[in-house]
Amino acid sequence: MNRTIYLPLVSLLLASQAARADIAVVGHPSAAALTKEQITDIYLGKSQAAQPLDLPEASPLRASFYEKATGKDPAQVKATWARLAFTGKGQPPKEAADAAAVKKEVAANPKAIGYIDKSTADASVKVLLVLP
Amino acid sequence: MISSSLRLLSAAAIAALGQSAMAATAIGDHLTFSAFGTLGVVQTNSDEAQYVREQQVKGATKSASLLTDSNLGLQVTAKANDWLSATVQTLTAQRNTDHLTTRFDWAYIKVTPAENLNIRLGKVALPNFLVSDSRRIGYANTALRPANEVYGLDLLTGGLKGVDASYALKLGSGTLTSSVLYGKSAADTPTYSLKVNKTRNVNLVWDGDWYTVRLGQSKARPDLSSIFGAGVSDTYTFNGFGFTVDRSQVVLQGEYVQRRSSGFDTFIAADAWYLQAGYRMGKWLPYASFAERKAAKSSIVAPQKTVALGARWDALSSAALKFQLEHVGTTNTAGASFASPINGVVSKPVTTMSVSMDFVY
Repeated sequence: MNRTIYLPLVSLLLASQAARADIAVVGHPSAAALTKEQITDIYLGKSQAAQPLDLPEASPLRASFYEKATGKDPAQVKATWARLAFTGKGQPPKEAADAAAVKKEVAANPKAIGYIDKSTADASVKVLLVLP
Repeated sequence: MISSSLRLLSAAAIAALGQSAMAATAIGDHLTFSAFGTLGVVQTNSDEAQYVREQQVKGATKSASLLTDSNLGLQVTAKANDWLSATVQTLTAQRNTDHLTTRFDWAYIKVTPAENLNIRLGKVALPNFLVSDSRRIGYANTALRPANEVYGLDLLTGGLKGVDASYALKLGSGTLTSSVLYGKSAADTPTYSLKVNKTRNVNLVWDGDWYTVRLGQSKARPDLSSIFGAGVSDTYTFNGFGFTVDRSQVVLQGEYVQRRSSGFDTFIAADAWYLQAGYRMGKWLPYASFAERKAAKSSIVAPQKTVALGARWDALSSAALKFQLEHVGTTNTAGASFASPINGVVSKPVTTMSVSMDFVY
């Protein structure tokens, strides 16, 4: 197969895998498990129970996570955070570069939580909830 | 001055468009810079009066205006630790003069002594409406601009210098946020500026899974000595009820507000409301709204009704384009959205057309 056709096909395949992959919400090994409602509240600024981390906007896992956890698309989530951030009610989640950065931050900070592809979770972090 | 400010706005808008990823730049470990803005143009079918927002002086006629909706907000937050931060925010917009002015609308220290309890000290916005403190952040709202019948009614336009405290209590699947506030405010209009003392406000917001309900009341003591001399006092009251619904594709929002005065109800007493309904279709969100202001207690406040049709299009990851058509009727009075009517009144209903681009960075 010609490479110029092959590459877009691979990225399509990867993107659809990301949309279907189980997403693990991970925290510090000492953290308690969270319910989906708690995660929704933390990622939409309604609860300060944990410090959320985001993956970069370009990551397909990010849109998929918000769809599963909050039922909102990226623009709705951004509008929600714009309202909170510019009226002093909260700061949007900090961005981590990739799954490895999420795990590193979460392993070091007992209050931090993040989301990664379930298959990349390891012993350095605790899986708090799996979003199928 | 005006053109250079608008150039700044345009440059900021273009910079935001070129920005593919989101918002908020971290400067070192403790500082975050973020920004929002709107580049908006509005035109009407009438030269009888200028179509404005709130206390603005210069607006749209058959000649389009960039001054009505355009604005730029810049914010820096310094976070010392989990419980202490400081924020400053400037907003460049047309307020109660005929040009864009830049002011610190927010400058406060925020303390979080316990989880879900926040105390802020300094300058903040007065939360007299459902989206009062975010009405200039176009990106955070569905409609192109908030109903002026309602949002133009409050006279306490100068923000609040003082202290506010809010506590969020989780109850079942919802959250009840109660907040109280106390301080000094100001009533800045094109013709006068009053100091306002003893401004206090109570707000209750119930946030369910897919709906929000808000109830609030402000009371304040405007200093009328510059108009009437010493010895004349008044208590200003502003009540508000509002709700939002955001369920599957349906987006609803509505508010009802009352303005009252203990001594000057003849000039002040008025009620206003609006209802807005939208339907989300992917990146498009078409909406329609109806708004009305009317006199209460046989006051002389001018009435106004607006029917609006519009659409929000989330065209880019950090920018939304909006279109709005309005039909504004004032029943032969000066209405709520018009400055300098030629004969003191707007004799015929006015149609407005608006396009704007809202962005966040």
